[in-house]
Amino acid sequence: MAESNDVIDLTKSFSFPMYNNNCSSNIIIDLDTDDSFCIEADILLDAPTPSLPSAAVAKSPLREPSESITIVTPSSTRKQPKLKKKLLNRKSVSPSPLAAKPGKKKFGGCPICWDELGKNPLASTKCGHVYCMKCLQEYLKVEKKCPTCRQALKGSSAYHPLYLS
Amino acid sequence: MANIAAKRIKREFKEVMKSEEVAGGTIKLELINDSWTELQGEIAGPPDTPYEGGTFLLEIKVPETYPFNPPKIRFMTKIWHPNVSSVTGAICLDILKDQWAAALTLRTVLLSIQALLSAAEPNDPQDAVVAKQYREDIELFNLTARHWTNAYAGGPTAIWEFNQKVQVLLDMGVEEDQARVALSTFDWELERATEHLFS
Repeated sequence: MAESNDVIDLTKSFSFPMYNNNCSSNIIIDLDTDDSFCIEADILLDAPTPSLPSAAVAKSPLREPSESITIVTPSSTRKQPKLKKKLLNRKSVSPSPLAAKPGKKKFGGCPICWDELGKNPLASTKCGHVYCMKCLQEYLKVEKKCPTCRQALKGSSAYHPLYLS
Repeated sequence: MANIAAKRIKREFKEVMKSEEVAGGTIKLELINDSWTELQGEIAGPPDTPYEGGTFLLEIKVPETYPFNPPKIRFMTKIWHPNVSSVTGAICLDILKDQWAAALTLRTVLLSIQALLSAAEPNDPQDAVVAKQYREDIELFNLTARHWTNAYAGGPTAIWEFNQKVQVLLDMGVEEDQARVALSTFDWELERATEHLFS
């Protein structure tokens, strides 16, 4: 696997049917369904940042040496930072990484500041609209409505943090 | 200017420049100063309206608190429309006031103003005189709006009779905009307009 230069191959490696059919362990199901799996690939490539350890811990139960973690070797993907980015973006639009095909559409920006979503800590309103936490909090000081659909946002359950990993 | 406002306006500006509306010539956006607080918009009069063929300039002022508060926009090109002041160009549009949402953008606002030209709201008027004419004599309203589009926005349709009446008042020494407003207000009855101007 280390000789593979194609990030798409890496995702294919996750899609072995046996993961779904033969697995008797919840751990593997987590891996398949968790959207953060691409983030995990990212984690392995880059130096850890504050948000990463928790994700790494979440994955730590994987003990089998043949697990996917070994597939994503730094040497094979560090050369392709752009591909890595694409992988992240693709993850964002596809509900399941398994079904992912190379997509061009980006996850999009915060409707308030237009920064790429995920760059800053996120919040979701109760109506399901996602913003940078900071932007939403600032907006709610001015207007207690969703900045997208204008639904009233009052009280403690108006919004909550959103974690992608 | 607050960081978030300037940053967003810069990004919006790029987005508008790449938009199909700019490519198609239905809207335009220009910078007026380097601090991104003032811009000039331009919208084409929609087809099948009295504004067709006209080009309307908009003054756009971006507040420090953008996008938490709406941009301040008014028509710089004079226009005869129930929801726009025929004198100041002020626009009555909910999304520029209480229905503003931070997810709206300069592009969507310009398109909304363009849509307003296609679908006036005479029951929520900015200019009561225009709205009254719209409700009571839509044909005369359409002619008047077309005449204004021709006179101010480069529209193609000159209305000879109206131009003649404006000329009569000009010959009396009345200023052109004033003459046009008076005639439009009094349903193009020269006598009443004259009486109003000289009373």
